[in-house]
Amino acid sequence: MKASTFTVSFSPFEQLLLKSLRPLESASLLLLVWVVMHKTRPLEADWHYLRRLARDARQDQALELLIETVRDRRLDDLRLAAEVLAAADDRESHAPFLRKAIGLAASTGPLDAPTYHLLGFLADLCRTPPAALAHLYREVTGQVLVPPADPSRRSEHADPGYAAAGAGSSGARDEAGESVNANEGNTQGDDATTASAARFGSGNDYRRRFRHAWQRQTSARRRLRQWHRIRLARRTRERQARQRAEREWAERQEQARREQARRERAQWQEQQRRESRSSSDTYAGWRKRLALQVLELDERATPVEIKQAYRRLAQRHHPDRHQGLGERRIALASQRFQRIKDAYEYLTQHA
Amino acid sequence: MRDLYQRLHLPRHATAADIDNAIRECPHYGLREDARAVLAHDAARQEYDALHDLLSDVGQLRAGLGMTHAPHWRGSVALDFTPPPDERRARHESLNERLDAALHPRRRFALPRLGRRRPARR
Repeated sequence: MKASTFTVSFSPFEQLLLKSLRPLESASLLLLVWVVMHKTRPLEADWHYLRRLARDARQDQALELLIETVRDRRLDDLRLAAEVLAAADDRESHAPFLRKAIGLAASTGPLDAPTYHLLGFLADLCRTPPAALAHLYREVTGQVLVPPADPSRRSEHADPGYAAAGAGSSGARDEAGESVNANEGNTQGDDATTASAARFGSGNDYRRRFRHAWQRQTSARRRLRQWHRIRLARRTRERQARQRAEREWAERQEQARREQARRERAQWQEQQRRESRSSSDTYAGWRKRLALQVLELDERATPVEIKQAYRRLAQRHHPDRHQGLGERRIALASQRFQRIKDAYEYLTQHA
Repeated sequence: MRDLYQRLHLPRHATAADIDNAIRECPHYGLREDARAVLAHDAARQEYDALHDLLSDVGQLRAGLGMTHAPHWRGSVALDFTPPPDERRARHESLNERLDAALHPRRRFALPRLGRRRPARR
């Protein structure tokens, strides 16, 4: 049967992962080995640190296997490790992992192109945006994360060795336990120890200088913000005062106009009264009073009131309104309408 | 970081003669100069090739993980080193499946046969 010939195969890293008590740590160990193996000059201290991590993950012999995996470029295994890391909980494992990766990548100075791109990949894997990665980098190394020169550009490639430029630069690791690690590195070799000591010294120097600069910038920013706030308050106050003044001026204008209108009206009424009193004994005065009486008004009526009264009465006594109520009613209505119309015409002509 | 091989229409392991030819025929001045500076010198080409291999690996991993539009994968790197999308299944799924097959070897073949049997040949 085919069933007997069917076999299931696992790659060495998959076997390691299946047997591991803490698969997440094994996976991140593989990715860290990947980072270290792409450094231009990996330090002995880096390997020492990796060995310690492997010991912590209870996989002392695994390191050789992981190195072999990376050297043979087994992408499936790398992808499996990346999937394991990406599936992990964000807060618990991602930031410490990134710290370790940054510490390992930057232990020999500023990042070169391979480690820079690898760190970008790991940061994407940990869902860490560029700003957060730059912040982490500054936290771990005390330096600013600068993208390396592009080797495919002639001008940058022309000047020799941007990678060798960072001889005196720093790379402080994430934990205080790292100093223990550096002391243990004493047995490994003198050059590594002195290099790491120099790294620590210059790292602290960088940190102090960075803190000073940071404080200066912060205070300057605070002062600027305060000045802005004061200016804004002053502008607001001025604007409010201006608006209040405008409102008062408009009110005063309105009041003056109303006063003027009232005065004019009173004057006009007074004049009317005087005229009507003076003309009460003439024929014109009599005619006018008669007309006003027809329109059911008194002598103080204004032209507007006359017009309104005419409209009202004309509508009420219009002959068309009495259509169908008998000829006599229509005749009476037209008589009344004629009288009203005559009175209005008289008043409009002899106003 | 640009893929000079791709831009010169060259395979990754092209010979020096091929590269010289391609550089001579390249119509773009900047690209020609850069390629002459990077690919024509052995030391520079070695360094460039190491980075090139690494970036192709990273691009392939990103394609498999669906991270080809991530914030750290921008510019000419993303433009030149992003392969077409990887349609294969996730590795951990395949691992789980193989693990199942290894632990329960019979379950895979207990499925009933569907469809008609082919008539026997005369």
